[in-house]
Amino acid sequence: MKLSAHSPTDEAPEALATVHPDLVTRLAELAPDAGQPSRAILSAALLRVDPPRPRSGPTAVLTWSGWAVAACLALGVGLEKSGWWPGFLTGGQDGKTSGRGTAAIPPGRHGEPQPASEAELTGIFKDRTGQPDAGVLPGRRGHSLTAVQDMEQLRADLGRLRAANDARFQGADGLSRTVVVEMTDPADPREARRSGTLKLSERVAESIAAGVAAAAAADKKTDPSAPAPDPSGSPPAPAPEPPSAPPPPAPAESQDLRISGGDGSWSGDIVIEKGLPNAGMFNLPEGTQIRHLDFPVEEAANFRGLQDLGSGWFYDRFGDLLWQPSGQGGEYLGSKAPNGFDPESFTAPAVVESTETPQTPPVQEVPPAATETPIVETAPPDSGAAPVVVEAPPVRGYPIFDETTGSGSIILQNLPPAGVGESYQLWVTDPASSQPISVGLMPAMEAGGGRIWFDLGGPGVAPSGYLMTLEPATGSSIPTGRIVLKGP
Amino acid sequence: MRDPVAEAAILARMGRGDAAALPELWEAWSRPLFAVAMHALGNQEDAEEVLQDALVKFWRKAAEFDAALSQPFTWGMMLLRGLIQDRLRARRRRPVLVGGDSALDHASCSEPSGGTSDLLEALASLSPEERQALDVAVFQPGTHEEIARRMGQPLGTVKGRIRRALEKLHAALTEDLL
Repeated sequence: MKLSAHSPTDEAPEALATVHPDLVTRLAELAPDAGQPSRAILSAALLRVDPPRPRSGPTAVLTWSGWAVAACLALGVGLEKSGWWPGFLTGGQDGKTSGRGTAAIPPGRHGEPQPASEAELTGIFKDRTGQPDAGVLPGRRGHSLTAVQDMEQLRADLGRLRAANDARFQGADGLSRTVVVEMTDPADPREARRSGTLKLSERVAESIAAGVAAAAAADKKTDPSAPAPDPSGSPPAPAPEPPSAPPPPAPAESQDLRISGGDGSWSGDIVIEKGLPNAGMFNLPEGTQIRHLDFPVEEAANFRGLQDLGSGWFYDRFGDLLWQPSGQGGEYLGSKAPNGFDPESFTAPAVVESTETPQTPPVQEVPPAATETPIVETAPPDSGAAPVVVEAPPVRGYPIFDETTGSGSIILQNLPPAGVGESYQLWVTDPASSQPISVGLMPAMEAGGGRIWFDLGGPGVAPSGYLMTLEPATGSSIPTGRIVLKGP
Repeated sequence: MRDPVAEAAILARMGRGDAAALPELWEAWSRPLFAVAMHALGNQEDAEEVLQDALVKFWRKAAEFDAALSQPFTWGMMLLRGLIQDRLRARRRRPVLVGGDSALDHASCSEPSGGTSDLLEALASLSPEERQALDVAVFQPGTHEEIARRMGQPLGTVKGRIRRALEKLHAALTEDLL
């Protein structure tokens, strides 16, 4: 081959490709490694490849806290017009819509937190137009709220937006302009389940089931009693008919298994409906809680590694699991055995039959809080029916913050009234500050829900998180009370 | 090892407007392309800017990619080279590597691994001057005149070195294929 020495080397890749089809690729990979470039490059590129946005109106990029502040998404007035964006989220940013207030952080918000004085609090929720918007919230002059009528719709809209955009901006950190964070009550175990912070996920449960199936297949493959494959390649002969006597119980690995993650009705990690997996194949973390709906007590002797501790208790030495009857029929509860557990010296407590709700393994006790006060619906006096206790709906908060303006709002749901002499106080966290920074005291809200606008003083501020605590009515300079909401 | 099929699929998705494919391309290409940009420009800021421009260009040109004409990464390298060349011309910066270590010198000292051993052997057959000329041709693109000016060598000398380097590589790698 003769290569033209007169062609510009702009064409070198083509010429190199004629030398060898992947020469350019291989030469490129010989460049000294410069490390992994910042993902901000990708983020910036994604912004540049984003379809054109409307020139006016708020442009928003959402991040959602599933694990942390994660994916971001771009949206704008066009989304609202097209029905993608609930009007109450963007409504009012033109400064004309009534029913808005603004909470300005006092000077010094980026340094040491400042106490929220009464004078500051008076001015915190002034209407964005500067005119008091009295009468919306009695007793809180200047406060105004736009009640969110349909929080389920909000959740649906946010979920849809997230689903549509998460994939698009997956891993593209640094894209934030408007950030939506979901705040939840960290003390509410229901939120732990919902947010996927379970110690063991459904995926792990599926892995266990898959692993057991694989083990069963491997056992079958290595079973010396199984017919040897025919080297001639002819189809294997039909299996002989089983003997007339009842077959012995199959080993654990070949039992049918039905395993699932916690179904939300209990605080544990895994629910086993049938069978008993060899948990020794999996490195179950400390604190794993398993509920077995039909523990094979009668067949326990057939399960290798399962030791009868008496009184209905069993120890699975393969998985280091301690099984105890829940008192509900054949239901058992399993948990990792404590460190240094010795089955030989263990004395099982007597079984107490109960007809009440199944006892779950101990979970962290949730301190009583206003947000968790159950609602008691009393039956009509003449009905003779017992009162029905209904669980209080979880309290939620959705701060929506526009980093381009430094302002935002928080939408609250199911926030019970603060006690006498108490107020909810909103805080933002900033990596530059060792302490949360006070945004201000929250006004009382009708029906426990609503939207409150706040302003952090200008663009360029990007809170890394939000807190809402229950504080004295005069406010605190640093969080002192119980955290009611936290996010991400 | 590159996976041309998977990379072509990513480019196809990008060509259809699937923005989720761009982060996937990033995962596959960002590190080697960044290395090339750093090697060519000798400056992290410039390299990052070029890499960002390259990602946008990949997005816009993905629909034009033809797997029958080149491998995906080669296609990406061509686009990146163009951007590097623009950057070199616009800023009139003298590439820091001319006269210094070349990537190919560096590579020839590396432990050969897997599929690169034959290439390293072929590169070892080049003289240091030919390796440097090839290095500049690959990583610091420009016309022969530009390259000769950067290298401070006569035009004819540079042309001859690049030609001989390519011919030697062709001979060595073709022999490997036979």
